[in-house]
Amino acid sequence: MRKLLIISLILFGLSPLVKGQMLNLNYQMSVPVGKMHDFASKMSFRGMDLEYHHFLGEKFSVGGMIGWNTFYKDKGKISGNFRFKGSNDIHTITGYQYRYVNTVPIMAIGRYWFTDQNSTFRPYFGLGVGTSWTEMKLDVGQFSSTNSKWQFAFAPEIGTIIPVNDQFAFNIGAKYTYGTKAGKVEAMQNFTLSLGIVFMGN
Amino acid sequence: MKRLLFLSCIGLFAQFLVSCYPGGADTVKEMDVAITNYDKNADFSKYTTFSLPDTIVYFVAQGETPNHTYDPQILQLVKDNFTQLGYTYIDPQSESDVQPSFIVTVSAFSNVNYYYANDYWYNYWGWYPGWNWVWGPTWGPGWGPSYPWNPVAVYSYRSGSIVIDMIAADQTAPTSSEKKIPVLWSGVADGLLQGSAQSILDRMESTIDQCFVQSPYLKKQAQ
Repeated sequence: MRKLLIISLILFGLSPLVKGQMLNLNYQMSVPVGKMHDFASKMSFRGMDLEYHHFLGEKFSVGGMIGWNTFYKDKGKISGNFRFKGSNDIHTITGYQYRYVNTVPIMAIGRYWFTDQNSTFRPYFGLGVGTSWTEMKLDVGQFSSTNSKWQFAFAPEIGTIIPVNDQFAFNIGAKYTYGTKAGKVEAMQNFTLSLGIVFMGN
Repeated sequence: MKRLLFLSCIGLFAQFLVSCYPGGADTVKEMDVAITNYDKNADFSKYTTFSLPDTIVYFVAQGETPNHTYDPQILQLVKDNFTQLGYTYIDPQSESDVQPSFIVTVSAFSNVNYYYANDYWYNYWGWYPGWNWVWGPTWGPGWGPSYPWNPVAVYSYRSGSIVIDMIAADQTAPTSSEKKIPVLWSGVADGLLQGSAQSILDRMESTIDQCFVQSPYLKKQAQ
């Protein structure tokens, strides 16, 4: 995972910022919904993503993103039924449970831009399609259970960038991410609010 | 320049996110767990009376001496829990003719890396007068408990566990080739051995109680 991040950093760092490109770094807050909400219901304030967009004309862009969101919930003292590795016996275990979800979406994004490059606001809507590595972890006492899988994922989004000058802008956006259930890893669903900075190569 | 700025932003961000990665257990108490399992095929309604030895068998690391100071307190707690569920206690010293329908054993482990099913486990209990009821002519020292499930391995840290086993005493035809006595129910109170003796005892006691709370099938049926 870390390797991927480093590689993408290098690639983005070296890519010449020529006309019609956009680099975007966002801070993200996410609310889990569905099965992920059942597992760890708390809102996440730990998230980021890195995006690259390449313009095809004035109104369309294609690009990619990689992100990271962490969800955490202290469930307090509760009971649960567990299987230990290598056995099918179910043991009842009561203790303080700590639950974590880590998700790393990697997607291709297509965007439609409503206004041209000279506007004060540049609203957009888009769709990301790709994969999401999702890890569900549960700790109770000395025991720990971890399941992780690559999920197929997609994410519709809306937002706007607010240009400060022809090279720099702010981004504010909202998106919904869905990752399909894979093995023991439940379907991943969350709403994400992104706040970020944008470097443009005009 | 712009690129450098962007890269440092990413670095700063990542740093921030990693540094506030969420925590987990903060106190020793939050590491305590109560683990229970039971024989899903057992008919708990037919067990009505029980007995338990007046001591706890300790499994400690080599060179350590077990401390029996808290035995009476822990045994009393276990006894109280069973009597509150409606089971009748029979004193092994009473020379009563009534044979208990199950025996409760309490053992304590303070070590790392153990399995609580141990081959020669019952040799420790060899002297217990209650065994005369249980063993009868065919059972004897060298017999071990037979768990109908796989044992739990508790590992790492400096942990301590109290294991309470409910063992059927009414078995007329034990599987003699295996020398196994069937375990009906097992409760494990597991925690870290940190803090004062009193605080460890308090935590152990509430975890033992929890073992009974989470086992609703343990109840003497109305006759």
